[in-house]
Amino acid sequence: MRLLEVRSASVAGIAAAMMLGAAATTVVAQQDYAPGVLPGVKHAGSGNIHVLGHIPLGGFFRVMDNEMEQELSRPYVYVAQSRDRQGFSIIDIKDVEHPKKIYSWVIDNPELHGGTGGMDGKYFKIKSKTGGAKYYYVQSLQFGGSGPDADLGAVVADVTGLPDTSKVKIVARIKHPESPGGFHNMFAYKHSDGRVLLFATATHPYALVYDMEKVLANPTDASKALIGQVPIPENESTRLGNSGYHDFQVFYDSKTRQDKFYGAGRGGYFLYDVSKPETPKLITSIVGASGITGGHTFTPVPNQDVVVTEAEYQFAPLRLFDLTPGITGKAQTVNRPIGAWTADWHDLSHNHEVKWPFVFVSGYEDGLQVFNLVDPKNPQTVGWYYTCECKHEGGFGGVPAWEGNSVMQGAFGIKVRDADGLITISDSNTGFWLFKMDGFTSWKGEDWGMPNVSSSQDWDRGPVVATGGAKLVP
Amino acid sequence: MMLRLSLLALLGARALGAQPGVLPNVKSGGSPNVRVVSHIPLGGFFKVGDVALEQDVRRPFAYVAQSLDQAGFVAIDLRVPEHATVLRRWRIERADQHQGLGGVTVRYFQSGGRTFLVLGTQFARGTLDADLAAIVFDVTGLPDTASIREVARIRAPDMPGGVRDLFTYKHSSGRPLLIAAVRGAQANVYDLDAVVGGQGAAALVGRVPIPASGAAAAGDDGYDGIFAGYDPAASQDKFYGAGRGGYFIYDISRVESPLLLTSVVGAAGVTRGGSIAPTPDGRYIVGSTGYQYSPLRLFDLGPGLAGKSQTISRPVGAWTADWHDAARAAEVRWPLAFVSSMEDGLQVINVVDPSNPVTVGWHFTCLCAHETGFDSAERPQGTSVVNGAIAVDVRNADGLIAVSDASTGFWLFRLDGFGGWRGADWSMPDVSRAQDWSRGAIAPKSLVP
Repeated sequence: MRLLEVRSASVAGIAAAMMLGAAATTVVAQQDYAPGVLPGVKHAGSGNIHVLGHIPLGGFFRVMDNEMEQELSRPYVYVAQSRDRQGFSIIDIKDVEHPKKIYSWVIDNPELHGGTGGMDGKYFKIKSKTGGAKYYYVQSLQFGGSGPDADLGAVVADVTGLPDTSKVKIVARIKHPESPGGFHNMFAYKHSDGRVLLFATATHPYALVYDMEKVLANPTDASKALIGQVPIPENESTRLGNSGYHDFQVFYDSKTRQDKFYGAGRGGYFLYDVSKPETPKLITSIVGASGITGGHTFTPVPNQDVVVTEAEYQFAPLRLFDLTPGITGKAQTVNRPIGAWTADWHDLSHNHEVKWPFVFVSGYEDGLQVFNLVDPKNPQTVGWYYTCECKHEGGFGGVPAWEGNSVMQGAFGIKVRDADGLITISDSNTGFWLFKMDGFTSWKGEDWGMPNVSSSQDWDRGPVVATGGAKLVP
Repeated sequence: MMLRLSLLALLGARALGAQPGVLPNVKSGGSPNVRVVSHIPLGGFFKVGDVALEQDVRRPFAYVAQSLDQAGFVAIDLRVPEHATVLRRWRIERADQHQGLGGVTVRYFQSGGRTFLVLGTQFARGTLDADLAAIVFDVTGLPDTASIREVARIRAPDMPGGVRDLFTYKHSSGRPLLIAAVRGAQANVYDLDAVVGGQGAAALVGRVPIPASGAAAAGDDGYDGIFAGYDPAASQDKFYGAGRGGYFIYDISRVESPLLLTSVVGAAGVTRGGSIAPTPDGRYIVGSTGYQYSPLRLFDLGPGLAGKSQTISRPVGAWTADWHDAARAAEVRWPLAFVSSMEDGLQVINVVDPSNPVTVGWHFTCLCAHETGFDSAERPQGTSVVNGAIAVDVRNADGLIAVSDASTGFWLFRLDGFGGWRGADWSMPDVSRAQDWSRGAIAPKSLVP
């Protein structure tokens, strides 16, 4: 901290600063490390990554995933919160160099609730019949079986009125009493048929598919909006207990004209055709790869031949697989990666966002990491910033202890705003971060000769138009 | 003229953008503290398996298993380590009619004052000699190669496919034992006195089971790697097995009735153990899994052995030479571990702090391009990282290090400052792969029969 003060000293204060610098030098000699840098703690980042803003949000494991709206006219980020802050916070990033927390929602009687609380969050937009649009944020929740709300999977907040936080209102609660324990992850998807769908994990071997307009029409009975379930193939692995999927994403494939579900979970990674979400069809899978008994996250590059996968255990790199043999029917399943990447093999990377040719990674202890996968056999790190500011292996120890000795701590969630390349990180310990990377000012698939496929949704036009097709969805 | 040619060669190399003698993208050379003593090519890609060094410096011989069309073994004379020479090549009869890897592992033992070599074999199920587990040779007469004599063949007809690993162990009861990782849910234990005495099936004196595992990826076999050592603190002969489901430690003081002591099961990324090597005190194990991107993991068995936890599921440390690759097995000579690290050749690590293993030396023996390794016995050349240094052994008397490289053959090394190993020098039990065949596992406290 003293060094920061020295760096920001005015010209008039140079002499004093020099004296302080001398004092700091003495401290360095005694401590054998630079002032402001903790021994054994990774610090700062590469020269091409710039911190724009940072907001602490409560300390160790009060923070989970984050979600960023894509429209520049709606500069809002949502951060899931846990422990004694079970719910979510809203960050106003209108001035990206001075982000502000403007709102927090916490479940009623948080002290009575067990479990992790807020975990994942997604926003979506629905055109109203009057021609306007409404914006919603869905917060996934996980509460323990013995306390209240164990059957509550998510709450839906109407956030249309932001930045007027008095207009934020919980408008629906999605419950799934058949599998208590809540939703761990979700994905909001504008289907090619025009529906806004929410895919949600549950503690049973299916992904739940909700029609969100129906959820809003039946705010206390989400069962009427449950329009499909994506199964997970049988597998002997017990790593995820009763749960099937850990995580999933859905993308439109303009070549095959299919809505494709990329699910990671028990046994590996599974690709389904969900063009008709009521009757999903398995296309191919990644099963039997060495070191993988369960998948965590499964993300394709825009043309959907190569995928980035996460396995969520220490020492496991992100593995890249070529799905082509599986998609073309030459192989029933794919089981050998073509490449891999890690920031530090001692650690573990968590979530990621593919913006070809870059992959933006929330790398737990390794903070924000960016790598280039233009050659998937040889991914290369191109930028990083350590957000965790933590000691190695001082991470999540499970609920209710929370503190433990795992590598699960630090950069938890990551999002990228396509319009201007803004990068957000939610760090489990240090809170919310905003970054820019030199030379990355926006992302569109066509700029790279690729379909416009990423986790960002074109809520107005739908995926067919967004990926180069002509059809406007209803 | 010579100078001109050399200059032209140098210029040519520079024009190609590579240093002379260094292949682009091929790891080469080593750390300055690891010195090559000698090197013998043994037939090229995947013709080489395991290696064993005799520990008695008066018997300066090494043995290397050979694979595929050269299925058998070679005996190597180390009387002058700088000029190691092949003494004898033995090939299985009708080699062209055998299918499978062939010779995979070698161990030696002593019985009745004679020295024997055991060659572990793998021939494909349903083919000639699929039931053959090992062949025993009397090598007492070396360096007189004419005296080498086959004395027994050990077969396991109920578990065809041969063995994945062998371990020869001087049990505290005084019996020399052969523990074989056969292709079933157990390790077979043979009394080697009975084997060389021609007692056939009666030589099978024990079976060490492998617990059932629910992991689909674990396959249907049992153990991949085995080790045995005497624990003076517990007065137990201990079996260490790596295989389906993880790592398992048994008390085999009575080999007829092994007792499970503890295990390493459920560790993330470990559905199958590849190799296992304990520290001399049995407190920690160094375990490999054998697959790409997986480091060697070090586990503290303390809570399991003390009964504080049923199984161990979290490593205390890990090490890799290069996370893109894989390591095969370690030979622990506390505080060092010598690692046969496949594409990364010989690697030496210091495990004095098991939570933070540190590389202290290396030499790249593979001289191969990344991901050009083994596929299968039917089509050996593939794209895996299974290539290069397959096995390592250390002669305790003088610190001589032998490496067998699947592609480049037999290597001898010395590590600066490592002139030999005795547990007592490190206040550790004298436990390593090396056996005291004359005095037994309990020596020097009490001499076995």
